[in-house]
Amino acid sequence: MSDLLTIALPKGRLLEQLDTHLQEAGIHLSFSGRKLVATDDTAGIRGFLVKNSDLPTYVHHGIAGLGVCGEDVLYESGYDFVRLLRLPFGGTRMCMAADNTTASSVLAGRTTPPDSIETLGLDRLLDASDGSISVATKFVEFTRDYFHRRGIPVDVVRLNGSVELAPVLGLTPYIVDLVETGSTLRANRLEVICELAQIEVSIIANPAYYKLHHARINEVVARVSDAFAQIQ
Amino acid sequence: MTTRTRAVLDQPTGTEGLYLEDAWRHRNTVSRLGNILEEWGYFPVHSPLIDYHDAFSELVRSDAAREIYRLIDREGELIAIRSDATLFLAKHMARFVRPDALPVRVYYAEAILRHARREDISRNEYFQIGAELIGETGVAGELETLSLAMKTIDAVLPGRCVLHIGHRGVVDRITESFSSDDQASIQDALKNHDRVSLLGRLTRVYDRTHAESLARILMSIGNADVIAEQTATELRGLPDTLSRALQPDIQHVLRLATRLKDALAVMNTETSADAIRVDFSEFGAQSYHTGIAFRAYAEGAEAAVASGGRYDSLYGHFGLPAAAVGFSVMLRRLERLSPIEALPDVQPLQASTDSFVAQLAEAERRRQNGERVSFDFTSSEAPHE
Repeated sequence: MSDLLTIALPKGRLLEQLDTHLQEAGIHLSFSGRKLVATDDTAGIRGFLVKNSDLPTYVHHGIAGLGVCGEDVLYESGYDFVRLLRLPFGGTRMCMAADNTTASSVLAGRTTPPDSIETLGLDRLLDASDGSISVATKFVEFTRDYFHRRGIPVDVVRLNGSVELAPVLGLTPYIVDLVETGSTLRANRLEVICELAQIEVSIIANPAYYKLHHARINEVVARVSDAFAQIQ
Repeated sequence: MTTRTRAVLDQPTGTEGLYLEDAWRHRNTVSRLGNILEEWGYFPVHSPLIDYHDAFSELVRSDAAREIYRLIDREGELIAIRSDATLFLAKHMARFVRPDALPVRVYYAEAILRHARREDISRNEYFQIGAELIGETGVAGELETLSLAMKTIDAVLPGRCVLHIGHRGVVDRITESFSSDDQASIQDALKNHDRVSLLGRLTRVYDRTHAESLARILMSIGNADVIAEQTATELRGLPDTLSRALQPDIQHVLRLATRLKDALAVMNTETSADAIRVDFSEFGAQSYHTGIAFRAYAEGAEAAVASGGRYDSLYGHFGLPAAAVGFSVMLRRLERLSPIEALPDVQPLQASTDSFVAQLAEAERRRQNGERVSFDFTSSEAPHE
């Protein structure tokens, strides 16, 4: 049915939380078994379950008109999306980290990491890493842009997982990665030296799709927003 | 995989080939739309495929500049391959049109080349047809351009498109006291309908209540009557100077949208009046936009199928002091949404070396009667040794 709004939802732990909120808003998408497509005819919505990192591609190409995705993944995709609603859950922090020795040198007695490189002090960062900044990360676009916007040269090494190994094995002194509790960092004797950005999860839309269906989309988003407020 | 294998099997990004039915549909679409444009008094032009990069460098946003294919010619000049039909046409026309010959109506149907990420199959907009009305400053010229844009799109996708009209002046006036970084951020936030980011920037200059009013003006979408009522309410709550500064451009768009609805009623199209929407988040994607800006959207297309607007200082940049308004239609996006056209029947005519001249005469006679005739040599003599 072409009059159904379409939404791509991310597989994984965010889905359960999201599903609770969507149900509160009267949207019931049942992905039972191994189903990847579910429809709620009453709410007029069809959902697709996709891998988080693929979600921007589906929405950008208009296969799904709407989606739910973190800013980290959206930024790396490089595509433009309409930001309809920031969700009150699923958020995390994009942080720069180093091994404990480098971190104590850079932090120089600070008990909590600063929220920007400016506050941390570029000189400290350079002094602790032989005058240049090398970073291993999955988030190469974000990392490169973060430093370049501040006029700081940076060497970025792309890794696809287990980024914490890079300083441990001597690939790069620094990493940039998402940090929730910090337990993985601690287990690998790493420490956050700077918080680069707060990462939120948003309901997004393909820009052209939004222009065509703005009234219905705004109505659905208002319902979802009310449901979020009630659950909070 | 060898380099040669990739070279043979793959295609550089930024261009596209069309074959058989696809090419046939494309050619027919160009022909059909070209006829409409000519009926409206527009004449064809062809801009150069390459030009000096320096002529355009000040006019292209940095993100768009990255997509331009560039090369160095034998004299060491930096050359740009046509990536923006309007820009290349403006320079070309400015060289040849005399101010006393204005207004001039021209149209183009050309390929453009832009870098695109290999995995991004959505940006295939390498063929555009568009019209430029050069030397008209008034509302009537804009009304003509908008009507013609709708007529053109409707010819390919009858009744399936909506048109969103905004004005560059609205966002420019709201942001004129902001830093250039903040102006760019506000434009990005508006492009993404990102209310949180938009408010975050607007509250750097305006108090919260005024910022929220401005955000509602910029982000509301609706027909002219609805938006007229909404903006009137919002403007009453703003400081007098700001309200007065915004009124002319807002009223301009509202009047234009209302008249366009009337224009649609007398044009032979299937587009309904509901398809005309006022939307001040449309402010023109290019830095050279100065006045009205618009985009057309169609169900099934992942991005706008047409865009246009006013650019009154663009031709002046190239030495021709002339206002201009125009639009481009992304032909491939439109074509993909229209039915594939079967190749026409061609009648075979058996011929051989000995009978060729006689059969050619027969073929010519039948072609003059409108038949498509091609030779069939299958029962001919053995191949020439």
